[in-house]
Amino acid sequence: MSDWSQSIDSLNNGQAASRAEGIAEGVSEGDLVRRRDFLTLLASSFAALGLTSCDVRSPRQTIIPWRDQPEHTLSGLPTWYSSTCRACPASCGVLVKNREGRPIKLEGNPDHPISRGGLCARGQASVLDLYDSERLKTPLAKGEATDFAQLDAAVIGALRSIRDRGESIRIVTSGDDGPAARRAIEIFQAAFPDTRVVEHHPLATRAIARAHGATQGTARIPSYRFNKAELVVSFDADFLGTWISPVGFTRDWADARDPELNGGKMARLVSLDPRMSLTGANADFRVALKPSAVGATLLHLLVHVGRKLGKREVESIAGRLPAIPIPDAVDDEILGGLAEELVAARGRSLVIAGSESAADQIIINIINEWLGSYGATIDLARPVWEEADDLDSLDTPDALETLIADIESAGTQAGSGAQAESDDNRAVPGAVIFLGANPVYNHPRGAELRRALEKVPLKIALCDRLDETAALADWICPTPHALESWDIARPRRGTYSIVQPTIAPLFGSRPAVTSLTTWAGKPTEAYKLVRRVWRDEVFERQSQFDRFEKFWVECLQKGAFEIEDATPDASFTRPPLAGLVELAVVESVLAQNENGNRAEGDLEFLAYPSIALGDGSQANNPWLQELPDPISKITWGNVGAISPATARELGLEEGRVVEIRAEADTGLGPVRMPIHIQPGMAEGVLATALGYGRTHAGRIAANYPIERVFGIDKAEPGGADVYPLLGVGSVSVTPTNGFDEPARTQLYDHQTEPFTGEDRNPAREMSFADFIKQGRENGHGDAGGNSEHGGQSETDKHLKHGAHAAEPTLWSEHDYPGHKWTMAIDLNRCTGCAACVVACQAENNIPVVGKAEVRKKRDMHWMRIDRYYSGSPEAPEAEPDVAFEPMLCQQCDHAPCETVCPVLATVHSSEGLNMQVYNRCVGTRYCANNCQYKVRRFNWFDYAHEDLVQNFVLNPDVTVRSRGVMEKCTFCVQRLNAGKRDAASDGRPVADADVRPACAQSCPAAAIVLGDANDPQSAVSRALENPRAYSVLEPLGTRPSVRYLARIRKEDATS
Amino acid sequence: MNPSATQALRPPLVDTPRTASQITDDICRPVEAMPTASWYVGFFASVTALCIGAVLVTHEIATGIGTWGLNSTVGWAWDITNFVFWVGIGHAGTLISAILFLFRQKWRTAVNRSAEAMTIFAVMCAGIFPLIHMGRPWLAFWMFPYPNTRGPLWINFRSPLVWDVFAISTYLTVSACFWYIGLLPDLATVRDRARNRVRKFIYGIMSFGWDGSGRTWIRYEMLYLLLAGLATPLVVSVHTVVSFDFATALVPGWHSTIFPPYFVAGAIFSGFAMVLTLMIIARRVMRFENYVTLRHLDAMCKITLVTSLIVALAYAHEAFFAWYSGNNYESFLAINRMRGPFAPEYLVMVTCNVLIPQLLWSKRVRTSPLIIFFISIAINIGMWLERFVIIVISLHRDFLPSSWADYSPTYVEVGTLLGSFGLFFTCFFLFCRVLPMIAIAEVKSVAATPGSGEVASATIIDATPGEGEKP
Amino acid sequence: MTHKLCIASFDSPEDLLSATRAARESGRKIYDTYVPWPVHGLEEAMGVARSRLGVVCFMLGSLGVATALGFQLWVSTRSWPLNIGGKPFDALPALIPITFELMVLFAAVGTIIVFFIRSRLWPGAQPGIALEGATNDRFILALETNADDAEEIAGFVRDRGAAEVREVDLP
Repeated sequence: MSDWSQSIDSLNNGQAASRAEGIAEGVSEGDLVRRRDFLTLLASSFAALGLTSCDVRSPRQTIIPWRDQPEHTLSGLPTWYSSTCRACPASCGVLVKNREGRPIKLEGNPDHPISRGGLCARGQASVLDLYDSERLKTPLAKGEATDFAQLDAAVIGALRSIRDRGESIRIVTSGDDGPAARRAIEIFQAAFPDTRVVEHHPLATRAIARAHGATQGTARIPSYRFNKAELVVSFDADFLGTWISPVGFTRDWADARDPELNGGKMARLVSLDPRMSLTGANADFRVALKPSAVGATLLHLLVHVGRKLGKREVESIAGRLPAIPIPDAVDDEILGGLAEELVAARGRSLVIAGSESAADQIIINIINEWLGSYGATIDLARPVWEEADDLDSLDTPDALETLIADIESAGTQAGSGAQAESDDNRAVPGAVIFLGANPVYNHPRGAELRRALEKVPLKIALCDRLDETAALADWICPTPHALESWDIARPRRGTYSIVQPTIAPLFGSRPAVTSLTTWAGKPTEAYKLVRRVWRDEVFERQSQFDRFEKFWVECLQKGAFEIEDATPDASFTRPPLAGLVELAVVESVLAQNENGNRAEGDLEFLAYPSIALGDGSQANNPWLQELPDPISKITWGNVGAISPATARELGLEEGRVVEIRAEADTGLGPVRMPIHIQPGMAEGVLATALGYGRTHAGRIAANYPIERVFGIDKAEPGGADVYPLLGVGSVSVTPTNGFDEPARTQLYDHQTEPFTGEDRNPAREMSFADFIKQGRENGHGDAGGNSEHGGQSETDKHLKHGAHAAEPTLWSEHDYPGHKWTMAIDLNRCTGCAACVVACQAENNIPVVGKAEVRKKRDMHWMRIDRYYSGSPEAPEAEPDVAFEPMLCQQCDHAPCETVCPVLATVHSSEGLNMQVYNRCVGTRYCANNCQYKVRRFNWFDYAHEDLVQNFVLNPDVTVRSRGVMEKCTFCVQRLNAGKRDAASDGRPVADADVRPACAQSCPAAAIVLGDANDPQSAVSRALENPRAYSVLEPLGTRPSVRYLARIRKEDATS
Repeated sequence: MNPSATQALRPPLVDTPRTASQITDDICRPVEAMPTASWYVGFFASVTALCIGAVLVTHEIATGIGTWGLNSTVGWAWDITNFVFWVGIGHAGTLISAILFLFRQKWRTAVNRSAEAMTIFAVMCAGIFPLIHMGRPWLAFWMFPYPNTRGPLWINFRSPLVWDVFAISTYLTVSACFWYIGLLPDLATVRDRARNRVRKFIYGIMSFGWDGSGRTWIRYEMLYLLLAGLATPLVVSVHTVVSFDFATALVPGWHSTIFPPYFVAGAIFSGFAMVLTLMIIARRVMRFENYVTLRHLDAMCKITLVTSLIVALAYAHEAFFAWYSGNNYESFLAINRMRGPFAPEYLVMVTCNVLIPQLLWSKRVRTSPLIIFFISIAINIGMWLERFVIIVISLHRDFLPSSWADYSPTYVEVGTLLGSFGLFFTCFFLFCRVLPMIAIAEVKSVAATPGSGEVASATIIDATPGEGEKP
Repeated sequence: MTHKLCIASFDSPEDLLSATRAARESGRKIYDTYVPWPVHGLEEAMGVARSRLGVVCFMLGSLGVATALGFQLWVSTRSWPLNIGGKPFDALPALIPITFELMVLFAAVGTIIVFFIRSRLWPGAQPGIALEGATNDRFILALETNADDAEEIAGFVRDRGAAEVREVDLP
């Protein structure tokens, strides 16, 4: 019986689970060989498609067919398990789609309290991490493969001798480890009392917690309720992109933005940020504000808000304001207007900041408090990511920096024992255990840590790959992927989410909690530990269930549980406000003086987590590497983004490789990366994404064999590591002779033609005032409503017709008697987050092509998100408005691609789908030429996965296309058919929920709706009647089956 | 006979009067003698180019179309440019042999054989590109409607590519037949002169037992007339169908009703330029100055000039309708051609196809082979660029600005074009060696003096009317 | 009964034409003529009926049209009708190009085949009578003779300018 069949067993049968765990732990070398051979066999069958002369053979070992079919599993049908996404600490709920024992896709769990059905790009892609062949396959002892028994014996011995020597042990965690891991650490601490936990979250939002510690007396990151907000003012808090819990926030925000949901009301977003973040791109009003100006701006805003609310306290601050001039980017009028809007929306407003300055966050807290946001749009009762650290004090240093200092001081203390005794905090660390943390890479002082670690006698890494930190460790315990392990996530207080394995570990890994408890002398399987913690922390604190087993099964099925009676709202302690403001003023002024007075040619530096890679832990994921950044559309690597004006000032052009040096010496060499000229950047700021430039994540993260000419691979490095520069403030930039054109999937950025200035306006928007007026004047029709991008071309006149039916035609129409699949995409909900892009890639086996191929504009994404800046190439705007438009095959009823195909490889279905018959396609590419949306993708090479393990992620319902074949979106026809089949077997009509393509399913904003236009009750039928509905390029008469709902821009707070 | 008066005033078609026997000797000489050094140089250069092309095409088929510079937006570029270019080249051959035949232009006899050969070789070159541009060329036979086991799955008769398949294969078949029918009497001549048994055997098979029978000649002339009558609409239809590849598409710059006449005129234009290029080389290398006279060059230059003006009109028409239609996609296309990333290509195209040919208004230019040669090269370049402009500029910036892209060729594409020239000239050099390059029977019928050499050539023309007249 | 042919070779087409015309007018049996290029007036001089290849060509062309149209319509509407770009199954204009091409192909290739059959030409066929110069510069008249009138016919053609006269066996 193969390993994964047992794991399925275990999932359906609680008792068998422990058996699966045992097997997972006891995977022998023989099993691995057998599995690999099976993979080879599987891969050969794909390779055979490409006509390579593969010799298909049976494995050398005896293989046994899957005789005992597990219960509830039918070959050919998916099995779904609820679990939790561990790609980032937000911990969204997922449904894991298993086919023949393999998890092949993650989808958002609609019942999950955090994500409510959406899943971001990184979450979608995390299923591919499972099949990453760069993961560790055995434990390593000083670089040599070993087994867990030997490792345990040696580690336990070493730990005990450290304990006996009186040295302390440090466990460095990644900051988002859940209750189960904490329980394991507690068990470990019981055995080794002098063990301290060092929390290292690479993208911490500690300042928020610290500020709340100062102002509210409780160091917490609150939950934000964007759905309750009518006005959000964000100071570089990219809550739609990467900030705290973007999927949940996006859903809340999209609902708040939807005028049809809110009786004609719509929330407004103001963003003041230094770079064009996803949030800034979606803002109704945006100001490019450099990081050093945030403090001063907030102070001025505080004074404006305070005065409008009649707060006397502000006058003392106002008196000091002349010392802090208002930043160039904003003026008194803007801030006054903003304050007025905020005050008008009191109780329904929200001010947030991504700043890592506690002073900034304190000002934010005061403004929010004055505006009555606490309890309304801010929920302190359900804080997220409660950290173990004591953050009540504003000057607590970074935990990892403390660790480095401890290690560094260890050498000097060795001689003077008295000092060590007197200073308990400075106990000598004799061992450091890295629990899924990789601070050598993702901490600014990683290089120092690397040097410091040389002095630590025992270094143990529990991680999934030989990463930058693990490479320095003596003992390495491979840990399983989230899809292979039991765990608990607690995304916010009172909300518990179960991580459930859906496959036995592919490689020789062991859960970290088992390792820790084993070393503590109390070996505990992860499953048992998780159940114990679930019983203690969740079951005991709820009242709905009285039997644990019933509760457990219910929770496993649902995936998450929310305890209702959470701790009451923390009292707002009202600290002496003046003193706090004093503090804030001082810090802001200092920060501004430090950063604002940059030397000639120096730039303020900003490093941010990108949508695609986040903190870089998934850097070896090819889907994410090839995911175009929603704004810059750059793939495979990071760039130094500067504003057009700054580029002119410094004489830099797109793609020029520069050397970036920190003002403060980091002790490292300069960072080299290409320049990208990004409209919307604040002037004098250089922003670049974190997560790239990994040296130990794997082949794909480091580089990628991108071009093969006569068997010679050309590879290039995939981006630069900017963690060392995180928080340096300002940098100097030196151009080099190098040139490295960023690999972009979109080369032209405007809706406006060059030369003519004609606005093609495929992604339409209207002002909120026009929307209201239109609703009042004519209850229907007249969708086009161009407000300011008002290219009143002939195109628009055609669009006055709401439906295709009114259009004249020369010939008799084919009718669609059964279903007529139609899609509606609400541009007002869509944030451009690109989750759908990866969802589509996962669902449809879309290949990854590599950097050079992307440069040649050969990316294969069936679903892409077009991004347009306002303005034109002749008159570019420094701070343009941004429009997003998901673009996929529009399934035209009069499809131009179909008529030109010589071999009938693309024809129309009776349900209105434009079908692509891969095995009939001979690859003339005529269809792609004739497609006005350019959504067809051609297999220029054989893109079969080189990593054979990755073939396991392939969806068996979708053909893997061979070279020379055209491919494209088919509205996930395999899912439509599955939905029809399910409905038929239940004996009911097909409902909207049955037919959800991958893009619609994953969309965190629920912006995409697919359904049957023949069914008047379907959601899409209602959307088609929306006066905002239009089709892109409708005048061409091709009758696309996708309709877009124009975006609404809320120009001002009125109406 | 009435036309005799005017014909008598025209300069002779053969410069120095030759007897029929001398003409036979002259034309058969290259076939029977050892090749000249210049032939060897030309032949081996062509074979080298062909081999380069063959290697690169093999590489492309083995690796993928990705070895070309195409992308998701620009799905066709050099491949289809070369295809249309070569099809166009072929057209002059059919035009000279069929249309000028129907119009009783007797000067055609000196060049029609080479022009027809050129047609066949050019269509062969053209046919390669649709084949190798496919993602899976080994499945090219799926383009034909044949009974199969995939259910009654046929082909899409609405697709212009299927029309292409029928048009090009019909064109190649009919052109080859037409050419071979014309060759039959001359092959018999070569056979009858052969001293060598092998030659006699081979040419004996190839000449189908032709013996010059008067009864056969009478049927032959009827057949030739019928084939000329069929080939004339065929040649028009072929480039019309090729233009449908673009005209029936949606892409701005392709979607145009003037494409059929525009393409046919362009084809004749480029074809005549290529005939001029070839004949100017051939008359020197093969010492055929007596047969391909300045009068021939002059006549061909005049046709070239006329077709250049038609092409110029088409360019102007495209620009005018871009504005007049009020369609912003079309008008943007026109401006993008002149000012966009491929503006240099467009300007070179206009220069080569419209401006340079205006030199041909001058009689002195039309009778100076060296200048004509360079003009014809310029036109060849210009007409290649015309197809490139139509295909690539239209595709690279079409409807949605988000998918606009650039294009640049790779060495594989350049090498493949080189290889196609290699194939063309290899065939042409072989043709010069093994087949009579000039239609012996036809030239004799219009130009031979009787054995005595006393009768003026004009009289001969008078006495032996053109083949077009009903016997 | 015919046994032999009198082969008369002329220097010029005019001589051949006048000799042929005279031979026919005098009731002599013209076996054939052999000329290096088509000589105008030969048809009339030999008294050969107009070739009917034109009719053949028309019929074959019509067959091509019928085949193409019939097949395409059958495929599009009967054998496997498919919704292609929303167009009707029997969209006639789209079928015209192929119909035209097949018409030309059938007509051209068919007429050529008929011509070869009628003229007894095929690859490797031997010339009926191998005649020196008939493919170069000689104009030859072949008259049927028998033992009785061989001399008389030879004289007849010599009188009309034949440069060379000889007798060959009938093939």
